[in-house]
Amino acid sequence: MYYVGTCPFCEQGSLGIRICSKAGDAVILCDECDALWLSADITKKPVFPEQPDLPCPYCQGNLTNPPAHWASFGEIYQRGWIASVKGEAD
Amino acid sequence: MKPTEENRFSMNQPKHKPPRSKVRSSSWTIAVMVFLAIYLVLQWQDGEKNQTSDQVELVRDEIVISSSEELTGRTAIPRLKGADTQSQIDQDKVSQQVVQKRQQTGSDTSRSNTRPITISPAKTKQTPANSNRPPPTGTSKKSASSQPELGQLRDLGGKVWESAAGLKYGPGSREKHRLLHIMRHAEDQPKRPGKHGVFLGEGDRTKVLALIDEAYLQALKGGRKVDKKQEGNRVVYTVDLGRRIGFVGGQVGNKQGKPSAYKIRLVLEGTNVITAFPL
Repeated sequence: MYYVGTCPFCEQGSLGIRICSKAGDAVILCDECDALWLSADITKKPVFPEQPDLPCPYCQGNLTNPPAHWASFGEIYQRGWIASVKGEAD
Repeated sequence: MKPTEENRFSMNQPKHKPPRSKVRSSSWTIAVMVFLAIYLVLQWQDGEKNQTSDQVELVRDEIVISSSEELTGRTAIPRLKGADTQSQIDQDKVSQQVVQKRQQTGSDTSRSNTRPITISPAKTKQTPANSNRPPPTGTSKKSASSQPELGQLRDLGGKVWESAAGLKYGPGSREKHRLLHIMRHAEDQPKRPGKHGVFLGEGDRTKVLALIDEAYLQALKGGRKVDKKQEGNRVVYTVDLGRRIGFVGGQVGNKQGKPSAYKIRLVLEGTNVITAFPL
């Protein structure tokens, strides 16, 4: 999982780039508290998708069940978010 | 009483009545009835005369009652009142007790007149001291002992579990269930970026959940050791439990030598647990 920082809300989770299950939309998602950002700018306030399915804010897909997944390097590159990546975690 | 009297008089009657004694037998019956009526009237009059002596006796009984009332502290209010009021209350009590005692002597003649009165208006008043009901402290102890211990879970169905403190753990997170997600914090993840709070308890789920329950109960109480942050339906409590409840692991914590953690952060949606970890 490529992460763009530490969650400012829970101050513990890593913020990964998540691809939704339907349209392939990319969002920033905290792996600890499920706080969600629509862009790589995490200085904005997060939103909190409905539990437990975490529906995608852009389409009718979700962020929980496959084929939803953590974005690969290529997918991050395609969306132009490479500059925001801080590192890769397990 | 009446059968005794009748028996006594019937004993004087001849056992074998002659046929002409029918009239005589009816006259005997009338005589017995009259005698009984006179006897009852005399008893009633005697009771009226003894009322004064009963009152004196009841004053003595009242002293016995007051001494028992002192044990329960029920005489504190009358003592604060004036002497006239107190004497009026005493008179009322005595007159009520006279009536009750008369009823007692009428119904049960075998009772001793010198026996202290056990039934009086003051005595029949239901107080915790003389009530047959169990004291409320016992009830609360019983309910407290019947409550589950912190960290215990109850199955609510639908893969949702409720802790003793009322926190709910349901499906969600990368681990597919919040309990699994929480248990990630039962051991260190040294390669995890940033900090990773680790609970004490050697991976025992009950111990971990007990700490979370304790933190939640303290969060509900509030106070200086509780910090609350709310965003929408999300609430984040940071609770200082005042003792070491874990350590800080992860890449940062391991670089710092795994410093002790005294606080627990709870991320909740209502009573639904999103995550909880030491910090």
